[in-house]
Amino acid sequence: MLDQDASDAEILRGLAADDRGAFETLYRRHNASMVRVASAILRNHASGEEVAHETWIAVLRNVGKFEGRSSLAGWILTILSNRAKTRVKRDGLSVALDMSDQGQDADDAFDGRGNWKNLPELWDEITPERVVAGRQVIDHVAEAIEALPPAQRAVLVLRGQQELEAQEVCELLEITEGNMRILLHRARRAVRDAIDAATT
Amino acid sequence: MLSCRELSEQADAFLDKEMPFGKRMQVRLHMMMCSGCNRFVGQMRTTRNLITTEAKGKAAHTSDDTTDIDSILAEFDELKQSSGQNDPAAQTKDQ
Repeated sequence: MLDQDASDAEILRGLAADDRGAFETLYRRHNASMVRVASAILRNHASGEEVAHETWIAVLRNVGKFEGRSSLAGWILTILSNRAKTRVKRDGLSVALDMSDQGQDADDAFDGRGNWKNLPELWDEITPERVVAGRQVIDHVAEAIEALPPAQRAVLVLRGQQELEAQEVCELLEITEGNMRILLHRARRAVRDAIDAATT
Repeated sequence: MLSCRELSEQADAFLDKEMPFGKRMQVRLHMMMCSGCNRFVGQMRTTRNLITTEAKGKAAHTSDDTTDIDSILAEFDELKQSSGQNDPAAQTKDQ
């Protein structure tokens, strides 16, 4: 297997040489995110896993066509979202990514003038490994991400974890930049609220 | 002057450095005077880092099981041997 921080170019060279290790590195880097995004689009985890699997086959068959005009992650996730959206149409689902479940910002943190009712806690002691309420903080984060509405989860994974450009995320999910920003904010806020609830 | 509520709604744009200079200065000025917002932005920064760390943890966990990797590579080898052609159904041109 290649180094965990191997560049796109190193991975592409490995794939061209039929190096299993290069594929393993690529798979480990992206598969969990791919399943999350496809599951969000399809509203079904098993279907999300199937689409991720199909996408890997397509990636291997077509990697020679990759021209480097986007990141490798962006290219893979474009194939994934196209396949997921095709399945949405095939299965007669009416909406690829339902924007009606964006959720609302919690209003009860502020008074009528928009000031904090209570001072937020200091989080100096929060680390991924710290155990609170019987589990590591990072496990609370994972649970909060899984609990997000699908549209928020997809944006958080693509922008906050895979670090795609804002424009790429909008094109993949067929949403406006304004909606993308709202979804990202609400997703991060929900994760922050979950950590806060677990630790204070 | 931004209210704390308004600042909290713009904390992501501030942390992602997707904010015009003037607005950024407004946020900084508010944070200098408001410990609540200072703490909140710190919490959001930590949250962003934890979200990134969570993805890396998922990636590490994925490495424990290579069943799917084996299955993908076996399927790909079969396809290569049977057709030797690219998948015409996949839209794979990068943008």
